[in-house]
Amino acid sequence: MDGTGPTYITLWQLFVLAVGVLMGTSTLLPAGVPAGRDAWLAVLVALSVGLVLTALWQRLIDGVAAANRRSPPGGQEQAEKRPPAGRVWIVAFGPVVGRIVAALYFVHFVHWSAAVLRNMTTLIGLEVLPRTPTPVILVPFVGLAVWSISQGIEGTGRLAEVVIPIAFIASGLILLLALLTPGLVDMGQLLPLFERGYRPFLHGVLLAVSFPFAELVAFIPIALSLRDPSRAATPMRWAMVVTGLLLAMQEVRNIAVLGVHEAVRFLYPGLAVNELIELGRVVQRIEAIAIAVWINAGFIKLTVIMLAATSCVQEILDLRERRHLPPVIAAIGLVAGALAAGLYSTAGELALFAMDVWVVYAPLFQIAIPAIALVSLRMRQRQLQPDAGTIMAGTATPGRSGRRSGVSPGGRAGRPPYRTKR
Amino acid sequence: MPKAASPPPSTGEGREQSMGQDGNGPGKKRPAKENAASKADHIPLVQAVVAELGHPEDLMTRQLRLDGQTVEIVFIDGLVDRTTIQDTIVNRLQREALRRRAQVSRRSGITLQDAEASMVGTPHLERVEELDQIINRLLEGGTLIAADNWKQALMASTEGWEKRDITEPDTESVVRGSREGFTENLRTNTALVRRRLRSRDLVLERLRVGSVSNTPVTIMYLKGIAHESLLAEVKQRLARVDINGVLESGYLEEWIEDNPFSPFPQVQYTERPDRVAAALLQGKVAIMADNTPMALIVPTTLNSLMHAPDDYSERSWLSLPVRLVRYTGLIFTLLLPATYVALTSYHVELVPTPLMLSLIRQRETVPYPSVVEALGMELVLQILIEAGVRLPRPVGSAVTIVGAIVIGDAAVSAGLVSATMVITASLTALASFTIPAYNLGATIRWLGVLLIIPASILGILGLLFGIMALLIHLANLRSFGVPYLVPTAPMVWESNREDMLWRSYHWRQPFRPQFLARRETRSIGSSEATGLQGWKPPQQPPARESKHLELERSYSATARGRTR
Repeated sequence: MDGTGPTYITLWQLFVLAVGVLMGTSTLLPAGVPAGRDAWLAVLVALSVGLVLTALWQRLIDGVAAANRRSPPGGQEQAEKRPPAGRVWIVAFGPVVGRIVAALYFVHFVHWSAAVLRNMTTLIGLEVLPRTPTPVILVPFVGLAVWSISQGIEGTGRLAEVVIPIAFIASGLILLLALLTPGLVDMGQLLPLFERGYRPFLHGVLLAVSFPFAELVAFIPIALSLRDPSRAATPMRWAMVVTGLLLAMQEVRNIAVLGVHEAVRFLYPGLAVNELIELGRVVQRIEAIAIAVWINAGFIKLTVIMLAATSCVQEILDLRERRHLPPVIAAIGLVAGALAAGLYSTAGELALFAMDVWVVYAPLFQIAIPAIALVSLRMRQRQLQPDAGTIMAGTATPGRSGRRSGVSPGGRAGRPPYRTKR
Repeated sequence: MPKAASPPPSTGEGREQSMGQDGNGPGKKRPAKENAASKADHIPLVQAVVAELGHPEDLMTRQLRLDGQTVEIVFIDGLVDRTTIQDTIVNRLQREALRRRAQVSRRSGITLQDAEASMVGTPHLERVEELDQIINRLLEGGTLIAADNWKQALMASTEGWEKRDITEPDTESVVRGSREGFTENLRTNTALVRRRLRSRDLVLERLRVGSVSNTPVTIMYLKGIAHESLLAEVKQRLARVDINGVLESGYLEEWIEDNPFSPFPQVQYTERPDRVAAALLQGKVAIMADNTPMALIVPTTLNSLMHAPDDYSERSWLSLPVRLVRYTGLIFTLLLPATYVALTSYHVELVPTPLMLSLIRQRETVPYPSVVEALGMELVLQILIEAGVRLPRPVGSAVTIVGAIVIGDAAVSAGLVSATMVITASLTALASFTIPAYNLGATIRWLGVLLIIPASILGILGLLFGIMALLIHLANLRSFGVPYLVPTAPMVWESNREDMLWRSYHWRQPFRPQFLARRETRSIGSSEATGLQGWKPPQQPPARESKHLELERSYSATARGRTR
């Protein structure tokens, strides 16, 4: 762990991290519940909306990365020394408004990580260790997350590379097991479609967009740690497709096994299904594995969100060196842990919050502010560098031109040429 | 420096004694009594050397008086081959003196050049001047030849000492593969590797480590294959070592590893020269210390510690199940005891009902919680393993049998532990020995014991926390800059396909692992001869010789003929 060199993550790491964020809470807390029987369809529609959203984020990332390359924070020679993450909103909005937006995002990320933590502790309290007090679970969880993030984003990426593929394959296998258990699945329960009209369906779609697909907004600062940020959208899209299909199939399974009434009633319908799996008295009590998978993926999700929160602080306070970060991360962990313990009184309240408030509140950060940021970034760039028209020229496809701006027109290549694959 | 060596109590006497013993030694020109000469008899250079070394009793000085000239020979007994000294130095000098007496009338003594020319039989001869250099060479087994009228002295290499034969490695035995193992002699060890890599690119660099022990340490690598940055790092870290003595390569290991506080071994050691050769071919660097039958290999990854030499010489596909078994062994070792504790003390409902009933019936008589049972059983097991290592070999197996069968069986029937716990513990111990690297196996075994503690506090969740903590640590661990979990994290697809769980066919591994070696160097084909761009790895093994095909065809033709 040296604090000098720039830290990078690979595209594959971004992919597994994104899968972790998407799987984190959503494999047990089902997405698109308000759509009832059509939840799986809502997930698929939300998936396509999410895919479109990545284009928006990618443009923002491109613009920010190009601007950071042209004028690296801390000067050209500092560019190779400091971690490349950070500096999104200041680039887009300017030093004052940018800091305010970063602060807003900071609050959002901390609150969000508190919600994730709360989800975890609730599940563990309900299903694993019912008589253990919450802090006993919360403290090691937050401690581990803080320790992991303090060692840098590379370590988090590598951790995800180990954990997430196993978690994903295990989820897939559990899904298969439900189909293999005789007499469990009744596909007829999926019909009819749009039984209650389109309004609940739309509500389900909206919920599924904001939870989980648009949650990848947390990767806007993290994607700047890629060697080539202009390729950030691809792993994110693949993560959405892969996890979206898994989630949709889980919705199908939940409804086909439990029926729509039960599936909507349960807090964790996935667990209820897993408890029913029994193959020849050997394969049973699968829910333990499901919970382990969920905790692992949830941990990755927590670290990603806390990383994003850290990058906000980094941006606001202009922290240049990695050794400044651990106290910040510890503070974030403390606040998130405290919020998780105190913010919601019951698990039901949290579920209601997710269903009614999150669906309106989260898109503000996931869609609205990034869109405004993109517009603001372009306007600022026109003002600042009227001669840099080549970068942002052809306003129809600025993202694409940003992609080419690896060699910027000033002739100052900010970074060494990207490592090409053989 | 040698100054630190404490001088023997009675210096003059010691020397006298040693010289007296040297009866069968070289050049017995003078009677033994004369050897008890005072310091003043030595020529100044030898006097300085003897004083610098502190008059040790094993320092041999011998004076030859050749026609008025005093030639003195200095060496350390036990480090030199006396026959070599007799044959190549003393005899030659005498003959040279006789020749000069016959040819030249004036008695000027042997000149330095003549002496040098006369000792052609010495493998290595050099002129020396500096005291430090002389003393270092003496301590290595050199012999100093000095004369009163020479400006410089001569240093001949006469190393020769008792050494162990090359034997089969004990800790890394293989079914198929070389039976040679390293010995304590550095030169023998380097030769063992050189015999496997007869290449001009094999570079050996010598340095000395240890302010007192002055241990020769050799860095070995293949020029053009090993990364320059890795080499620089290795040299820099070795230069940082500041220690009195290097008695085993483990002393070096702790100085040069990335994270000394990590429980995981970040440097691989081996006593197999073929393993070192394979590692060098991959672009790694080997470090060998004198007096150590183990070579250190850096960088090391978890994956490489899980590989055994057999994997590379046996059938390719066999590597997959074998390695899967090893990884299963690793997971068993790490998790089995902790899982037992977590399940029996917290999550009985997770165990299928019939198994649960059986477990409960077994544990009925056990008078304490399963944590105590597990920790106690693990302790007994570790005692058995440790005793097995330390005990004399004939006793060892008997004790192991007594421990495993008698104690285990008696403990179960006495109701002290449950039978399941005995099975768990023994399976854990057995599984830990599927890990090819002994140090990794021991690490995992003890980590498995440690994991019992969180599992006993928070059940499966505690176990998850423990695993998570281990994984976080592993994900951030590096060995000489190479991430420890590579090629899984960070993902390197080529290496995963070529040599991770499945050791792919040798002809299908055209490149060296990119995280180790310079990517442009190929491991099959020669990179100079073939244009790098156009070359493609063979997709199929080379076609068989037509002769065999002919034979086969004729055989099948006759077979067909018969059936008709």
